[in-house]
Amino acid sequence: MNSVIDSMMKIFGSLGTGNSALGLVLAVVIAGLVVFTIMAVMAIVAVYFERKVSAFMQDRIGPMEVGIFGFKGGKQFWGGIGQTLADTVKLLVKEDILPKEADKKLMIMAPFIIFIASFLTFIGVPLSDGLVVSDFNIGVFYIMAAGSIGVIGIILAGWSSNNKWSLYGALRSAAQIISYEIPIGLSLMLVVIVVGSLNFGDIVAWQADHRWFFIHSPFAFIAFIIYVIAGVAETNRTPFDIPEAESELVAGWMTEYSGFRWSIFFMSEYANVLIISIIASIIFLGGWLSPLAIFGVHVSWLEGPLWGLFWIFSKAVFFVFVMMWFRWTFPRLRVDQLMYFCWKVLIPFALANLIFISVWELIF
Amino acid sequence: MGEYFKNIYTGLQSFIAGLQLSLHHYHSRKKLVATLQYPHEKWPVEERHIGFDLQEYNVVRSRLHVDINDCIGCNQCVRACPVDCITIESVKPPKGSEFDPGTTSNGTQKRMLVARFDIDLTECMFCNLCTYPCPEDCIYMVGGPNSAKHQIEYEYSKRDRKDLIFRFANPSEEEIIAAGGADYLAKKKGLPPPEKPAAEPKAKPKTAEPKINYEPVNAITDRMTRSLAKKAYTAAVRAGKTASETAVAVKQALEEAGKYSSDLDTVMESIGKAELMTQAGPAPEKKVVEQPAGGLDIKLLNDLTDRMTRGIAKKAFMAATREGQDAKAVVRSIQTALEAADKFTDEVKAVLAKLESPGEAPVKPAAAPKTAAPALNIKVLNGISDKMTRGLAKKTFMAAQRAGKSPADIVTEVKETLEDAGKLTPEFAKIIDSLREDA
Ligand code: SF4
Ligand code: SF4
Repeated sequence: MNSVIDSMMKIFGSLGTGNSALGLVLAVVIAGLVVFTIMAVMAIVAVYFERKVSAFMQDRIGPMEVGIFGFKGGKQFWGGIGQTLADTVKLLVKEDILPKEADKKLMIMAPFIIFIASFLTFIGVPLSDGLVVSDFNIGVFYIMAAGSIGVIGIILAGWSSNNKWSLYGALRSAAQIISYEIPIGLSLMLVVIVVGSLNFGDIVAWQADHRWFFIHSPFAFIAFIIYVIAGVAETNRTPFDIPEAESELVAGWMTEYSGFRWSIFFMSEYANVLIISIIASIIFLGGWLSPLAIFGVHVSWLEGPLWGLFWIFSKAVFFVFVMMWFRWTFPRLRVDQLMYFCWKVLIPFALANLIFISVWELIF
Repeated sequence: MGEYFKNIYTGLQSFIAGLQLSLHHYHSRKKLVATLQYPHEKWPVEERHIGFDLQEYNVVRSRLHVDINDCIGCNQCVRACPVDCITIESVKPPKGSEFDPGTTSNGTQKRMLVARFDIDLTECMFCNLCTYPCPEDCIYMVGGPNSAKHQIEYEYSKRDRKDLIFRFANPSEEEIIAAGGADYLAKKKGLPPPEKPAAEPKAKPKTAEPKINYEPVNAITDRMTRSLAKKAYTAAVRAGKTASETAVAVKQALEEAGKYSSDLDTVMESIGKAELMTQAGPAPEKKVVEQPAGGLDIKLLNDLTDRMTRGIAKKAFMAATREGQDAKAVVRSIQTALEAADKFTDEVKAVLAKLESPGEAPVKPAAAPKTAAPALNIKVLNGISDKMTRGLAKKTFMAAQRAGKSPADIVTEVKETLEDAGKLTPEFAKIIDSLREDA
């Protein structure tokens, strides 16, 4: 076990406080703050990124007016880099509205449950070799489990708002998330079957020894595709955004939320996007391994924890881009199409994949 | 079952086609971008065919524009405007200044420099009334029949309401100063007028350098050529050249401008022979004009109390002096004029007697306020920063002066009035005291 908490506790211990409980609290607080910062920064950066990407795909140019300290960026991509910062400030100072008929306690609680789900998931996500808040030996399973907590928050939010749009959105969201967790689980299972471990470190080590999973076998490749598609659905993004479908449900389960609480939803959504992307790159794209490793080239100075961080983030950013690309390409699915796609296409394929990969593993 | 796989296949196909399409747009964003960043960029306005002849297009409710180079600053438009949203300030070059405000495109010689021409478009009601009286057709509504002069405009969007005050005239400070507007400039900047220009602009032509004699150059008939020639002439005279050298310089300047023709030979000759300076020396310019008749002083006529009488007398005085009559003849013609108007009274008689024997005039008590008052310079009061206070001080000053009070009395009276009004600060008191020092 090699995690950030462990190493921090070791450091605090060697400082001679002799009080391991205090060391543990300090380590947890620091790690928590770092994770929180990553989530917040991710949300700010990703929203800007998303607005620019969507603008370019639609022949617009996106935010162009707000700069940072007078620096207004260049002509196109960096044109309005202060925009999301300004938006964040706006969101945080907005009036906090709770509807009169709402179930206030639940409504206040819901965003935090959703946030806690993303936060807990983040704890098990390694950012580089050994750079993980807590290194579980059942990492894959833990992430699946922690990620599912969020749906409770969504149902609470929809229910407590006392608004039919919210309730519809929440129900759809629950149905969707629960359904799409199955193909995600099945495609991750394939990797677990091959590696024989639920630990992320082991999975990456296996890829370093053999080959990256998306080129491991045709079945692994199909699993990869299924994972990406189901991952998009897990994060409630277009084309699978029927829970918030603004043309049908106003804003789905977020309808009654505004200001600070709404920004927590937003932060969790983008944190989930990042988590799905990082896991996809760890499990299928070699995680913190340098891409040159595919071709069997090992350049020693391109490896190491910091480079690992860089590689994992480049891969994750690629996935984030792909998700945005999906979002601004495809129209939203109908509810029945969504269910059809999950239960009649993804799940059978994922199941068949499992059988075939087992046979493949027996043969090779 | 076959249907099922076919669906998946077409689904995949359209999936890839869709992604390709949006990626294509993402990559060629430089070419395909349709956004116009509105306040920074604007579409060009098209003069479309609007269904009828442009000449008949009703320009009322279009936007005003002024071709400032053609404006002669005649103020006609200001007078026409029902809402008083036009502000014109012009600087008139002092006599003898070589500043040339230029000519309009109609060929009119401009007399002054238009230093400010503001139209407050937040107040303008687009009635078009200001455009009719303009003698130079330089204020007009854009578009329609005027589209050749200025293309139509369709928007007024500004970030600040102040930007809707359109400032058409924008002369540089050097230009204004060259036109003799140092005074104007100082006032505009809200400074007390710079020591000399404020007090002496009128005195300058009187006592300063001898006047340049422009007579030979004025013989040139073409306006452009004349102004060119004048410039060269002035420069040459200033540089202290002799008459013949000046003629050469003027000729050269005209040739360079391609304006020289053989008709001008005689003019050049006359320049070659001319007296370049009227040897006026310290003699005031006024004397040259007004006192050929044995040093008669028109100011003495100011002692006439009746306005009408004074006007008639002055008119007759000017006419007579212009004809070069001697003192007696001048007085006689004033007398005849007043008699004709049935205005010849005893008072007039006394004044005329004074006029005839100027030596005694300044000593006479009747002339006292005229001589005493100028000893104080009212412009000093401009140093008072508060507008109300300044106005009050000036009013008192004028009243006291008119009453023929002595400088000391005037100063005390001004102070007292301000004190009564509760406006006298030590700072202002100092300024008022300086009235006398200045004198
Ligand atoms: S259009 Fe009418 S209101 Fe406007 S400046 Fe001219 S006269 Fe004044
Ligand atoms: S009427 Fe015409 S020339 Fe006269 S001040 Fe106005 S714009 Fe200038």
